[in-house]
Amino acid sequence: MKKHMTPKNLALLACLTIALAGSGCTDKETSHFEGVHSFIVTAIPDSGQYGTVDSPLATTNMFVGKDAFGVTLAAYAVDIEGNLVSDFNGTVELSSEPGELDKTQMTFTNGMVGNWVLGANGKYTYNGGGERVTLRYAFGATRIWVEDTQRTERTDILGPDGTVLGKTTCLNNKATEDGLYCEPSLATGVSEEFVFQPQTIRMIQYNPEHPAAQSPLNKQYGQIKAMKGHDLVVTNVVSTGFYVTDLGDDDYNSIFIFTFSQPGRVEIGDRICEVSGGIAEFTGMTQLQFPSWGIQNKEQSTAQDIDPAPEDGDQGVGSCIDPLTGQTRPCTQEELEAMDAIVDCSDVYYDYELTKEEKKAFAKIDSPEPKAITSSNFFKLNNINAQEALESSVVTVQDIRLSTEFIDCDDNGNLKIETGTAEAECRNTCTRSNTSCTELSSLTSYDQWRAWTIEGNGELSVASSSLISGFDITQDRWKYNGYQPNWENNGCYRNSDNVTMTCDSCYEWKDPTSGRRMIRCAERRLKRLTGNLKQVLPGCSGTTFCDAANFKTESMVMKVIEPRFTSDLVFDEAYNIQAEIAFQECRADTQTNGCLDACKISSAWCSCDAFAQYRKEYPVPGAPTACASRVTP
Amino acid sequence: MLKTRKKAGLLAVLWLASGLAACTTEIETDDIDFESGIRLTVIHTGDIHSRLLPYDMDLMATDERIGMVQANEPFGGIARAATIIRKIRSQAQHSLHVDSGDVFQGAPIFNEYNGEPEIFALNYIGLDAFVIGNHEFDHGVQNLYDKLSKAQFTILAANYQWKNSQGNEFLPLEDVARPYTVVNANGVKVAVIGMANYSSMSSSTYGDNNLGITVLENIQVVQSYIDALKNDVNIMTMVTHLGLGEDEDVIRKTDGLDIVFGGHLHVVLNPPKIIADGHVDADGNPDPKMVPLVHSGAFMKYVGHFDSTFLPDYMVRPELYEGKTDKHEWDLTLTSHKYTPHPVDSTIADDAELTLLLAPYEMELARRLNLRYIVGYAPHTLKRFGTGGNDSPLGNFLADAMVLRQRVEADFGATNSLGIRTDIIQGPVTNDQLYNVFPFPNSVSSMTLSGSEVWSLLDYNSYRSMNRGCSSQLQVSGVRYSLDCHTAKKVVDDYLEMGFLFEYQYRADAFRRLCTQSSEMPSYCLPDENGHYEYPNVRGQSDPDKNVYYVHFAKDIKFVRGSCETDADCAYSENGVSSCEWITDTHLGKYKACLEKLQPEWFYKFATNNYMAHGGSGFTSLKYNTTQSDTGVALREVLLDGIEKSKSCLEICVDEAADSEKDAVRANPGKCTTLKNCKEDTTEFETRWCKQLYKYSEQEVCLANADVSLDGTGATRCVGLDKKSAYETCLAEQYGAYCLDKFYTRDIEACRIMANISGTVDASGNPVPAGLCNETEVDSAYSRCVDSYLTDPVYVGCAGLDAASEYDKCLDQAAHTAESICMEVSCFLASTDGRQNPIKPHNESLEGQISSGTTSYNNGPAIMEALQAAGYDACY
Repeated sequence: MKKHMTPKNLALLACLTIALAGSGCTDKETSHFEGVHSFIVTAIPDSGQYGTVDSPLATTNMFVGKDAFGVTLAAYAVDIEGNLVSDFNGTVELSSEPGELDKTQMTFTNGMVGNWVLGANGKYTYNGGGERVTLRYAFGATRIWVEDTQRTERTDILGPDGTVLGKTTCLNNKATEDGLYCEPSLATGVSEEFVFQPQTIRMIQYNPEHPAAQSPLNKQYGQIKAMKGHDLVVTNVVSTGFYVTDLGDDDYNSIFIFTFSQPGRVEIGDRICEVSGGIAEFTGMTQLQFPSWGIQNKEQSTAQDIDPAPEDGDQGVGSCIDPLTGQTRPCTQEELEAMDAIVDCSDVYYDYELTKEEKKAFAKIDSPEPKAITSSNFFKLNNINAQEALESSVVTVQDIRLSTEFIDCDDNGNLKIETGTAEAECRNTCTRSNTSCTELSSLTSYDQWRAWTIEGNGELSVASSSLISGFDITQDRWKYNGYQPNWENNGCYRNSDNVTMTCDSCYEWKDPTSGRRMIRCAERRLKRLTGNLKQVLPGCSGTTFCDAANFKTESMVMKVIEPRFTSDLVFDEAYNIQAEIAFQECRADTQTNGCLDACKISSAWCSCDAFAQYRKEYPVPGAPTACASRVTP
Repeated sequence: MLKTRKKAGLLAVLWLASGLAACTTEIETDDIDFESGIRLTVIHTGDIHSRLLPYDMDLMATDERIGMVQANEPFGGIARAATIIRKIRSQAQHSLHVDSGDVFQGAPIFNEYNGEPEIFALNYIGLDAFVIGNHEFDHGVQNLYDKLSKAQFTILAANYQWKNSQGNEFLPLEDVARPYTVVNANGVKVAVIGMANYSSMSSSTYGDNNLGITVLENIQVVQSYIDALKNDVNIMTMVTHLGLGEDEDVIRKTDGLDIVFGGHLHVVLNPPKIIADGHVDADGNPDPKMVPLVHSGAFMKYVGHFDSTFLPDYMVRPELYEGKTDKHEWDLTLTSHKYTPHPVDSTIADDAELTLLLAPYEMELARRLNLRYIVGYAPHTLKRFGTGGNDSPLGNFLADAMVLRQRVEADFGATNSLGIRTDIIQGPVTNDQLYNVFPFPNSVSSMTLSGSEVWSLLDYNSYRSMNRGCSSQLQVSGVRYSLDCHTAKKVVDDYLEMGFLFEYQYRADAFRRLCTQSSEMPSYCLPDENGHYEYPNVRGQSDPDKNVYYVHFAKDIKFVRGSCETDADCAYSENGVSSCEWITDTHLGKYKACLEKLQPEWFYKFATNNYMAHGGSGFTSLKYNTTQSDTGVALREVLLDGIEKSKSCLEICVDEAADSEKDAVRANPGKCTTLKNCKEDTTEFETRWCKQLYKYSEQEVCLANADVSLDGTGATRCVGLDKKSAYETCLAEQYGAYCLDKFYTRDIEACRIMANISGTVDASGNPVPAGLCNETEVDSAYSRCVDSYLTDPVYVGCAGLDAASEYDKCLDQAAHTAESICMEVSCFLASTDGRQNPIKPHNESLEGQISSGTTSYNNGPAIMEALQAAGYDACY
């Protein structure tokens, strides 16, 4: 093994003086390449068309069929000076950047694939033959790579008496550390450039092989551009990103743009020119990560918009660094104008210059009509494919009841439910076997609560409702302590007239058995709920792909709706008032006489049996011990 | 429209400043046929932050997406990275390795050695180019100069002028740092322009160090060097520590870059971003080239591996050369690229030589700082970032510990979120981890603030957090409030609408303008406590120029006071100042406490770190507070105290048990799950630590270096080393310079003894200046260790000295001590006390326009009406 550690250390200072004196320059070592250095590659499309930015090729997501994009590949191996290496015989790796090829390998014979003719200029010209491959999922500028990535076994050199004298030398002078193989040369050539049409959201979202599976372009770079017939509009802005819908497609037409924190300068209804980022799957949702975007009449996205984990920076709005002093100061008007890289999408649609007013009007697009999902078409059916088609779109659901019971399972208060602990057990009891329960720490951390369709009990979750609409599902709760009930006012407050009282629609207590904080509310219903549809597969993130096999049961897939505005939550006024009255009546009456039949809404607390049981376990002096048998007045 | 901005004047300055003329090179292209294409491989690292040694961490979803697996813990380790890098570079035809800076700060090895092993390790790896990050300055400019002088790679900072505004240069840093380098990658000339950090340099001026550096404007600098170099190189790259947005901005506004490698934000861009550059055609219309932007994460967690293919520009963009004769084969343009971040984890073998190079540092560090010492046990991971913008469990723990610390004892406290550098992960908590959480040498300051000053502090935090996705930039204790980013954003937007830029320091003017000049007074303009919008002058007359309008970005500020059962228990509840509410406390768990509303005229004792007290992170108002005093208590010590004050693991089990079970649990600790977990985790940790620490005996270290030993006698020198350290042997054999080189920065006593023994002569026979010993501590760890060793043969501090048997001892001890450790140390939990509720900017502005046919419904009044109609005038 080569030893060079200590001498380097010892000679360090001496070396540095010399190195630094002439630093910034190149060292003068010359290279000696033996063998293959590159491949000259020619790719001839079946259609004869390579495409241009103005006239791109149509993208295909199939290897076979009439849409398949066929290419004939030919290549020859050259050394560093560009001369044919005719003794190169080997299998090389094929790939498309971006995209996929149906063949991943190609074999060279006498340094060539296909027939080549040597011209007078010393260069070869392709003259037929070659290998046909087909290409899919390519978009934008695309080239096919030919790489020599195979390590080759070294053969023994035998002496006259058959003893092994050694191994043959490697053509590229690079043997593996164990001496048994030659390292691959990594000689690489790329084909001519094909220009395919830019991506659409549908191309990213729709997987033709498994409609419910992950994006076929997962882990590639996504660049979505607005085109005629493909208007892009912002449909929702939430605390970690925003949603974009392509109005030119009916399904698979929406995507979430993940910005890590609240994106600045993005509003619902904004016209998007272009949005790009790494295509990623997060718990079953396709998203663009570390995105860049341009919005009509607004400046290009900046670090502030996409800062994923601010580390040290200290820039405020409108601060500039003075080039002379290095100090931060307010920007000058000139600097501000220079910063104003105002994006203009209108040239995509119009050949003539729009006026300022026209541009302003052009900057906003009407949101798409929400798609109705119902118990019969969505919650009841095996709807994995349907859900994928609607992912990130604006949907609307009718007649929903909201959670009425809440329990805080985060015993240690670290904002996390630890798996395999009592915390997880508590959460599972709430979310798996109770169809009116929401776990409180997920409500406080993610502002996400559960709800059910009245028809068919289809489960969904609602996220960020308080941030968007100001609606807090447990607001105005009674502060009621289970240990020492205060029978005087029972959590109701005396109004300013000092006579009437106001009671809240939720009450809170500490469960005497578990010590956990609990809240119970009167049942509330929504006539309609609108928002963007998120799907969440709890076990399907990171390295676990969201293939069809992972969708064991449809109930695994959580449907989360993120409302856009206050008005996306339309309350069922009539029902809620009745439920409220019943709830109050129940609360009141329970303390005097037990339960009314009318109190038997979904809450177990208000049932007579439960009340009797509870009072038996936790007797309160002076309070009744059992339900009186009563009828509704 | 994008415009490429060039300034001839600046170019001239740069040219002179960088001594560029001496560096022009002839392109030797004769032996390469560029028309058949080039494959260039670039290794990219950055933000190593002194993480030379492997470490544990909880993976994030983004890591898992790249292919990291939790089971392959510990992660990182520069010796493993070296293995990956060597393999890739040995195969590649044309390769280079660039690093995006911030190699300093973030692990105890930096606190001890000030960056020396970091530079040696990068030398060993064969790094080509390195750009200066903001943390390179953490131990001062002199230290930066000293350490970088030892680098065998090129240090870059094109945008720094090493002179202060008076034109004085403190140190000859220009000799060390260059604006660019040209790497000869086996005949392919690759220019690397280095752009050092600027976003944090402005805040550095708030702290203790004024660096005397002038930072130049990005676009002009980069374009100038592109123009200066483009005819001398094949490929143009840039390596930066600017940050993601700035990198993107530079690409969009310059013309000529092929690839950009960035750092600073600790993110992995997988795949790389592809950004359109600022190239314009002959008519001045945008005609962009697409430039990949690569970020490869931090903490040596990944080795970025970028493969690219190049062809002569005239083959790629023939339209630019129609009818032109001026075209060159050597002028290359990127045609295609691939990127792979290789995870650095336990499946990768250490590079043996680099491990040995680091072994003396590692072993000495372990002895000196007692890094393996277990200070507590964390039953659960404590995150440094909260969810949804709230403050975090770890942040709360630290803030609580700060406020409660003896000699501090404040009403409330706050520490900047970004000063907390890593999570505390589930398992034993060691000294080492405390260094990772707080690598900085900051201490606690306390001061008195009036209620209105508190409000203004929290207002500023809301404003600052608004720019950062409404994620709180402060971790607070003893106070609870809402960050109103919604109002902050509205003020900034409204002010911009009026044609002005909102500057926080001029907010009073801005508020006056907004509140008086808008056609309708915005709802965020608040009256004073008397209900007045106008502030009367001394004569009691209203003076429009002096009117004060209150606009607050922090809402509902309440201080946490003593425990309570009902509102009546809280002293000021009568007038609505105080109320009894549920809170969660780090040490007490969930309980009800009096929450007292902020009173502008009251005074509050405030604890913070001295970085913020000196105005860091933009909290300039604190800088001028004359009541402040620096307690000198280090933040790490505060954290340690906080942990020690926490409940024991057994107490936690007792707390968790039902009332009837509590005594049983106390009587039988074996039943305690937390204790059991602690024991298991601690045993596993100690075993792993033993393996890591005693992987190489002193003899092995010696043998590895034997054939390059100075005496040429090879391995015989190592005989008998199992009882003595390499250093002692070294001394005995009088190979003074060698010993000095390896040990002098760590051991002054040894240094002096050695200097005496060796007669102050180095390997080449040159005298060794005794002054070298002055740099290090007077009382050496080595001598302390040997003293103890004489009196106590099993003193753990000397463990590494006779390594062969210590490994076994270590393992043995690990198994035995785990249980007693767990009975002694505190269990380290944290809470969400002080939880802030961000009020984020929301979608109200377009609501009416979009939501056709639906009406919003406010159910409160209607319900009351209905209740009354049903005969309910009271609750029952």
